[in-house]
Amino acid sequence: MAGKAKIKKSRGQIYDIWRAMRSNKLTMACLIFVLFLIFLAVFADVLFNYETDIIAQSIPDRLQPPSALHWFGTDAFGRDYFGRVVYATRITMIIAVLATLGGSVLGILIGSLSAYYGGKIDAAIQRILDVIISIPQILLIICVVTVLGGGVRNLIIAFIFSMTPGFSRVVRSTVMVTRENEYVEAARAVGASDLQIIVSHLLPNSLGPLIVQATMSISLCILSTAGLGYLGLGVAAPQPEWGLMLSEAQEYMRTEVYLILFPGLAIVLSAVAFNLLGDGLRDAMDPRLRGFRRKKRSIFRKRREAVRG
Amino acid sequence: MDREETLLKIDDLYVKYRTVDDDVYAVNGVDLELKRGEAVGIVGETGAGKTTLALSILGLLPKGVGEVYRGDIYFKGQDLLNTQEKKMREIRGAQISMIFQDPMTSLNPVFTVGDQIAEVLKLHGTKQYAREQENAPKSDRNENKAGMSREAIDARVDEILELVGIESSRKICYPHQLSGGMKQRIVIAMALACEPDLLIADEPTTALDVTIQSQVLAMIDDIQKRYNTSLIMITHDFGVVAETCDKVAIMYAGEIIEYGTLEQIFDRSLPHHPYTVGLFNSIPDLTSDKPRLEPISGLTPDPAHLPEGCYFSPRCPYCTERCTAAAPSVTQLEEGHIVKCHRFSAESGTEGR
Amino acid sequence: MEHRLLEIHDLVKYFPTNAGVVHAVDHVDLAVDAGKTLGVVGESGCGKSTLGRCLLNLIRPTSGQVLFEGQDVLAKKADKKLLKQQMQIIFQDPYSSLDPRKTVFNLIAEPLKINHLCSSKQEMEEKIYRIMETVGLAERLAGSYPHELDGGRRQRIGVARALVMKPKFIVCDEPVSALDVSIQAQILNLMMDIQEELGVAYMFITHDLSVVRHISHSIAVMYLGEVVEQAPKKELFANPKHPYTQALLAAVPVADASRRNRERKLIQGEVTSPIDPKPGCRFYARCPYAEPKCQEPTELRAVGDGHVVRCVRAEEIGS
Repeated sequence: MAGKAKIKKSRGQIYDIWRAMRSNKLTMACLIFVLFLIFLAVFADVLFNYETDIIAQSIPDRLQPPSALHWFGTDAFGRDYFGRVVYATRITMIIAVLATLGGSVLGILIGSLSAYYGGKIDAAIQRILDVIISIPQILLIICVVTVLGGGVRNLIIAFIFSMTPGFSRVVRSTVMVTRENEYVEAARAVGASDLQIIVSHLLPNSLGPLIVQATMSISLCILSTAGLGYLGLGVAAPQPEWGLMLSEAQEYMRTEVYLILFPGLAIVLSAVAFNLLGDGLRDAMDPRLRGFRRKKRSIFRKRREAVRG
Repeated sequence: MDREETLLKIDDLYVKYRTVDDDVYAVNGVDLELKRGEAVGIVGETGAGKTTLALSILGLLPKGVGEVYRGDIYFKGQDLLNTQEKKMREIRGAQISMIFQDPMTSLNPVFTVGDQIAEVLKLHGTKQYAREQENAPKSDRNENKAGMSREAIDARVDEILELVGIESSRKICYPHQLSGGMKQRIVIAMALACEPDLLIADEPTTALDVTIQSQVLAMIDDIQKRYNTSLIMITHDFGVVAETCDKVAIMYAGEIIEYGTLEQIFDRSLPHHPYTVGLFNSIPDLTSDKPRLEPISGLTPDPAHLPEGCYFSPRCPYCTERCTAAAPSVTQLEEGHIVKCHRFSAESGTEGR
Repeated sequence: MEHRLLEIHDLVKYFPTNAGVVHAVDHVDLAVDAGKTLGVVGESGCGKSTLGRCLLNLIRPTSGQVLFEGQDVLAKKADKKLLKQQMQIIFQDPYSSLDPRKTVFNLIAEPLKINHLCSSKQEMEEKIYRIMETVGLAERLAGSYPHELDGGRRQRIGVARALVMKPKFIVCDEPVSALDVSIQAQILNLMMDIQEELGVAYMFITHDLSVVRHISHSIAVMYLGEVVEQAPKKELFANPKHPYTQALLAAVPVADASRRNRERKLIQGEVTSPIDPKPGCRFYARCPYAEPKCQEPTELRAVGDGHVVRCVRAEEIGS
């Protein structure tokens, strides 16, 4: 550090983050997988015709094992299972991403205001959030869905409602810690307004926990959507949805394992990928952690070498 | 007790920290001898290896990371580096104790300060008590061999608190109820409770205010003289050294580059290592006006990538080819005053500054 | 008479707490001349940092007046933007006062961006590189993050941030106490050079008497929220009148071998609490010269040319 300072020209924060992320293979693998999911979600409509490929039944073709024609086989109604698993990605991703986006935006707003101004505003907001948080999340979602009815839109609303308190808690506590840093006072001393301080110092420095929370929320949404679908409370039947598909496949579990396997894998892989991507992003975004990751990896390498002898 | 008895002898000590990227060379060939009742000040800047030196004496280098890879440390003739951990625990706190810089983190917030001092005594007991026990008739002897009796501990806690200038009634206080200066006194009381032969103080007053600092320094000086305890005072402040020490060692990049008596080091008419001169020129003086400070240019070297030859050579105004080629050896300027610098080594003759 | 840049009149800051009211800054009157340095010395908790922050309105004072070139800084209708540019602060801790996520370039650019001081990107770059040169930061460091730099370089960034808006007055809150001696000397020299070159006035807040002696033209000593003595540098060090000033001067460890065995003059006790102080001299409890009349309220009074002291016995005990 001291002595031989590196010659370095700034190429922007985004570039630095990208460079740090690129050096972490696991994060990159997750990123590629997540991009793949997003690709499927966006182009599912183009790849498959909803009316003819996804929901049209064809009883003669029912329960065929995976083959060249039907990569994932067909289900009990003779629908192409590959198409349904892929199309389900679209529905799940729409729910998870929109809900998380809504939840985090609301959470950031409420949390940062609450933390920055403190006092009575803070106390009032926190008490309301306490009430919401005291109800188990899945119960809350079920309540909202029962009142509003199922369907994608209502699921999103239910998720936003249940996630906002969590987000605002995270934002509030990190902002409160960050606020105590002297550089916030330093920014005020050069004339920065409250908004400028929140946007350019408090939020960027609170982003790490927020990103972890967001990616965790996405995986949670994926899992909850599947859970609700399985219970018959979420996305309604002929629409493909992983949880719903699991529940439909239950009958044939012993004979047609692939009917469970593919939606199950999709749920697990997507949830894990988002979680790990969140971890990687958090590390990459903190300039202080960028150096360490290199070391951490080489520790693993050393261990591997040690095991091999 | 014989004042000339050597208490601690550090012989050609090298310590490195192993990190995954590089090896950090924190201490690079330190020789130091400490007599009983002597106070040595170790002066240096951040990263000079002062604290590492202290930790290696106590055998407290972080396991698996810090490592003494050359040299020996003898305490009362005992080889500390090859002493079992169990034995070291008996020595630590009882015969060698250490005062850390930050009194706030050295005390446990959930115990009263009295209990914390008592804890040390329970572990080690005092020599005084051990002597009394030996002389006492068998029937009166405390069965618990390791520790002292409750009453004896209580009495000693009161006594030691008084010694560091705190009313014994305050032993029921918790650390947060005391001011920073008082907390540091408690830390010192804990270090002194078992009448150690050697006290290592690592920047003991850096966190304190000036008026409190002078009280604490006076107290350390007083106790050190009264009990003939040896003292290693680690600091970056020449003033603190002047208040408490007999000998001074200047450390730079893990080496002692100059060593001498307080008078020899502080006498600016004598020749000195260029780093010592630079340090003196860097500090603003309270008693005379310097129109401008003359800082040493550059930065302390990265201990993972030390320069070739003399470690100070990249910053040294007198740097020659010789300095970058080979490390200087120790030169004696006068009795007890040594310097590690090519300017004074035999080939070039002794030049004054 | 020199040009008065900043005048502080009767400035008060009380913090109400559960235990009582903390008198952090208690009726302080001070003045800073253009291009000069006023040193403010005191121990922790004496209110010196609060004072500095009150001047910049980073902490809202309870009452009092701060006049910058005759303009009331604290008034509602004051031109805040302009004042923010004219009055700046350098913080003690170069570790926490710089946003870890911003590069050196962006850190120095922040004041310019916030105050829209540059019309073009090119102008901003030019300004930033010029200021980096002034404070001795190599251009190649522009893309580095603060945690990659050592303490001295970080503090140079702090100085650059304060200087980039060309202020006339900078509050320096212990800017060198977190640094190593040799680095400390580099930063002190830098600050003195800048003053000479740009004519900036400093309020230099520190606990270190030798530093304050080195850099200041005039010095104010604070104790528990009050200014107890103020005088030109030479006068204060040659002729300290207040017992607290004398005690401070005696307490500083000096790098002088003859000090080891001198007789120590120590003041007893610790700084008393700034919560609801009793009327009368606040140093009463620790003062070796205390007598009953010291418990009555005391005022600052002149004892020499520009030398004021808050002690009823100043003449008797002086020097």
